[in-house]
Amino acid sequence: MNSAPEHIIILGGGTAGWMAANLMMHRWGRYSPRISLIESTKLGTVGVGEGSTPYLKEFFDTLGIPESTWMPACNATYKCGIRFPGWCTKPGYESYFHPFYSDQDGPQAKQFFSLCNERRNGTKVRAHPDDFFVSAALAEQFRAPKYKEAELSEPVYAYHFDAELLGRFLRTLALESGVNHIDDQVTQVVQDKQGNIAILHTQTHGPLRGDLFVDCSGFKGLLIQQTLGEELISYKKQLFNDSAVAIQTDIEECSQLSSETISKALKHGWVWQIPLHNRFGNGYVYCSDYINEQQAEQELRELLGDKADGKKALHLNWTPGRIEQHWKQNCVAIGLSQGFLEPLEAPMLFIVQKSIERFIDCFEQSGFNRAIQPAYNQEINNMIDGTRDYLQAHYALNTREDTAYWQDNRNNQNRSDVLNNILVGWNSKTNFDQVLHDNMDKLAYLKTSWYCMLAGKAQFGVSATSEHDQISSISQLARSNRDKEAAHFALHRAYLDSFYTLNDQKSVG
Amino acid sequence: MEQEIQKALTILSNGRANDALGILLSLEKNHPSDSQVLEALGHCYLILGKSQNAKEKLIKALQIYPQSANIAANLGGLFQSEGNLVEAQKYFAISVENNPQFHQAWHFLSLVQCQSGNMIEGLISLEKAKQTDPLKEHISKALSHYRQGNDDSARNLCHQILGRHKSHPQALCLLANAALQQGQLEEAENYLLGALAYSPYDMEALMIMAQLQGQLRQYSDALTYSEKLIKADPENKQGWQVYADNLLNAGKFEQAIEAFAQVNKIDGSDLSALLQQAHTNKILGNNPIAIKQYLECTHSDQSIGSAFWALASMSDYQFSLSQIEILNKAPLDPDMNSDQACQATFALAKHHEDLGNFDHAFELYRTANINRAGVQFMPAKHRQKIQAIIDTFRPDVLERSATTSLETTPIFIVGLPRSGSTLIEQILASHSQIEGTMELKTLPSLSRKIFLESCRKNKNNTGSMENFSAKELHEFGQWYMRESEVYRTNKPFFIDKLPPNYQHIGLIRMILPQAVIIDARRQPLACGLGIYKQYFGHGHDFSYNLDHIGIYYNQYLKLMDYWQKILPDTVLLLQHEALVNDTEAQIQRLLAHCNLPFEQQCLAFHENKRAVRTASSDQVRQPINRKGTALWKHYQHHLAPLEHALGKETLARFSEWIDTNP
Repeated sequence: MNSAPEHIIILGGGTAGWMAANLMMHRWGRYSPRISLIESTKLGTVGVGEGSTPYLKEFFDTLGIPESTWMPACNATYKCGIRFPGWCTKPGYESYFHPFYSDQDGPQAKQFFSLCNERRNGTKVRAHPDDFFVSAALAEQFRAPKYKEAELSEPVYAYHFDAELLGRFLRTLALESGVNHIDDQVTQVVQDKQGNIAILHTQTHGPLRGDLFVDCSGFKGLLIQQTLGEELISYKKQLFNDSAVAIQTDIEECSQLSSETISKALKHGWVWQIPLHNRFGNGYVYCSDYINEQQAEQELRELLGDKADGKKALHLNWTPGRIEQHWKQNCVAIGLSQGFLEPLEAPMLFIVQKSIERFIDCFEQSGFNRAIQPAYNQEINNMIDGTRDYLQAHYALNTREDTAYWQDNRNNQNRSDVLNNILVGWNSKTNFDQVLHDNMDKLAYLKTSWYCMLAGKAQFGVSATSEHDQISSISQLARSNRDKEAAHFALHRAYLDSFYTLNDQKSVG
Repeated sequence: MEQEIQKALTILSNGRANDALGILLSLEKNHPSDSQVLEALGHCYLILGKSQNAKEKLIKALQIYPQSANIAANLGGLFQSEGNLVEAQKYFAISVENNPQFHQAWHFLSLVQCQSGNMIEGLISLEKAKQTDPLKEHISKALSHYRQGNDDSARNLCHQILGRHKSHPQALCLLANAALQQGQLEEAENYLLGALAYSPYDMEALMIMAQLQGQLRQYSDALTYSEKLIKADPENKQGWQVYADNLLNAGKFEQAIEAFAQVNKIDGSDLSALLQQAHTNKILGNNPIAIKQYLECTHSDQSIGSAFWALASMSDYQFSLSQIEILNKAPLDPDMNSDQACQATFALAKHHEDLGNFDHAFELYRTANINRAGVQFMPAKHRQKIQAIIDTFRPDVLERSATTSLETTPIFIVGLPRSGSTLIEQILASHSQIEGTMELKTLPSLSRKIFLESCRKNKNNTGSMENFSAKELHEFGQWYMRESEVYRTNKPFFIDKLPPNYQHIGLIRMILPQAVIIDARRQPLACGLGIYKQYFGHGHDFSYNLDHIGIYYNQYLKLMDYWQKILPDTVLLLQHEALVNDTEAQIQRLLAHCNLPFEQQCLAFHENKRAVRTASSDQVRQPINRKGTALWKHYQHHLAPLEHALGKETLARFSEWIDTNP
């Protein structure tokens, strides 16, 4: 690095802040910067996000922390994929599973793609993703994405976790690696002559100086937005949802433990159900233009039944969107200060992690002279917009007729060119792989995700239903193959329990 | 004829010089005035070692063909090898006049000019050599890669250059710099030795080497290189700066002041040299001069904080109202240098402490501490480090040690900073048999050497001490005695007071078994607060965070307990509070541990006029008073984070000193 920072100040102690602290210490420790994280523990964090993408595994691998250490500390569980019930009303396609693509899926995935393309071209044959992917079978059978006998290559998977506990775990980790923790509130931000952030005035610690600032202050974006003037570009026209209500429910400890997120469509949005080791996280994500907080909470409580009795509801709202310059002057925004789309597909932690890692790479290259800033911002924007497009496709493809919410979503023509290209490409009889390839630069989700969503939601012509679709021998064989393969995997709860016994033994020893 | 000459040269290069000589001599008979024949003949004689004959033929050749740059250069080389610098210089000068693009000739011309004391011309010729370097393009390419942070490409290019010119000074300097960045000091040293063997007056190589030797704590070499540097270029500010730093570290304070003054003379706007002069005057106890110089430094953005902080710690100086106003404002200026802002806040905190505004002082100390940039203490890594020391110095490993006895006995004073170690040093240094020195970096430097040696020997990086023989251990001890010689005269005892040496007690035991070791200890709340209140110029990265101080203190205790357990009766534990309460008894105990008789002047330590280069320089020039030991009580209600980090067990261990202290 040309000129290493001497004092990095991270504002905000949510998952984003502590993740940034850990990664920066890990990558930049050798340059001996001081890293301080300032947060007001009185204010608390948003901390609802409870699901990840497979990328989180790389974070812990980078820091060298085994699952048996961090997962029990965060009540974490494995996530083989996401199930989407209720988005499509066509018989046979009432629900589908969005798997994480693994190399092992290769041959079967190929068969799935080619069946999809046959079906697109009018052949009346069933092309449902659930038949082809092992992770769908793992989730159906309450298994962990872990072989009973250790294998060299494992399937790709993600996690569910308690966000608050994860935050605490990351904090302990960061403190052990030397991050300074300041519990205080920022009262004023002062810039220097060049417009860089120079000083954060605090309530009780006086002025705090730094040369590089990381804004993890959440939605308000105290540094990047309120000080440096970045404005949120609203995506409300693309993504209607702007609110959520969350209620935790108990889990029966003896029961089988699910290894999938369920994202079930409701009347004015969708509800997540996330299994943790000790409880469920549930939350209804909706658009406040169609229902209010009370209605949403009531709908969620009805769905959860007596399990939700006496449980507190947490209400949240946001404007979906993003800022334009995530790195500006001597400040980089990480997390909600960059903007937020919505919880569907749990992309937030991925964006956080990727933003930090790419920032570290870029800063190492150009340091304080910031030549690389525009390229970095473009890259992050592409990632967020690509995610937005994929999320929007979920809504655009729904076939529900029950509410204006779903009809409006379906008819919404505010779509990016990329999304239009993809949807038009799929529905016409052109080579879909070529369409994906042509739009590659701006995609956040790749081939398997698009095929699974489009086929899983039966996008095979307006009038097409699958009732009369033939179940091909290929599908049948694939299904039995994935079941056979799944049998080699450990049961989810039993596998996780072994971590707890392991740790008990350790603490006794 | 050309062919004949070629043939002879080929035979010559095949090692058959006598055969070649025969051919050339018969050619000469037929062509006595052919410069090519004569040149080849000269060359042949050179190889045969007949330099007189060679000289004769080459001179004649040059008379016939005075425009030849090669013949002149060969002659220059001949005279140079004979040590005839005047003649060598003459012929190299002819050579470059004949061919101003002749890189080699410029190089050697510069060398003989420098060797004959003609520095100015020598450096001009060296510059010419660089300009005519056929590898110039390659070097600038490597440099630009290096500046852009592409270290690997830069290194690759350098190695390619070395493939064509194995001692290319600029390539070697670049490699040395890259190695330094990676902390590979010994590798850097090797590159520089190569560069300087070929080009002993290469300013860049000298500069890096002078700094590197300082970094390696090899101060006699550091001084040699930096003296050469300033002699070669007396207007070189950076050269004087390095020289002055090395003098300071070698304990040559008076000379250091002069050297700093020289920096100041060359560049009047650079007040950092004045600041250094002031610091050095403070070390020597020349307080009035120091104060005057510090005051001047308060007027520059680059030294304002440092100067105020230094003034704040001088008991004979009080801030004026207008100075307080400056100190209040400066840390709020967003364009201020952050290190200066930090020190200014430390100064203001100290001022309020002196006024008795302890709560406000603590707030300011806290602000000052969180604003100390560029410090890094990793608790997990530090714990691993202490455990690794314990694992390395197992009881069975410690059974072996050097066997010879020493004429001079080192007294190691170890512990944490702000634990009264300077006081103990001052007391001991007042004894007629004991010499006080300064904070010697010799032992850490040796420890690093031994670690590298152990890596080589054991082919791992555990730092294991198992495989060193008694003789090797003895030699390590001798190295220490030799390197520390520059700091002492001829008293039978001398003091090596460097607090972090508590980590090296096992090593001391093995290589210097007769050494005296004293653990200067102070109860953790007073000690921790003392550390927290201090701005250290460098090092002690744990000291800017109360949690870190607590963790560090506990790890220190853990290691000291270990040494006490496996090396009983080796380390004298001197509790600072006990020394304050019952000075004479403790001093007697101290001297008894050194096997020395009590001397009255040890009680009058504050009258000792020796140089003191620690944060306590002012305190130890006054008699012991209890104000210092009780000061922490005013802050006790702010020390919860420290108490928490120390834990109940540690606090209970020191309850005698925490609870009952006046």
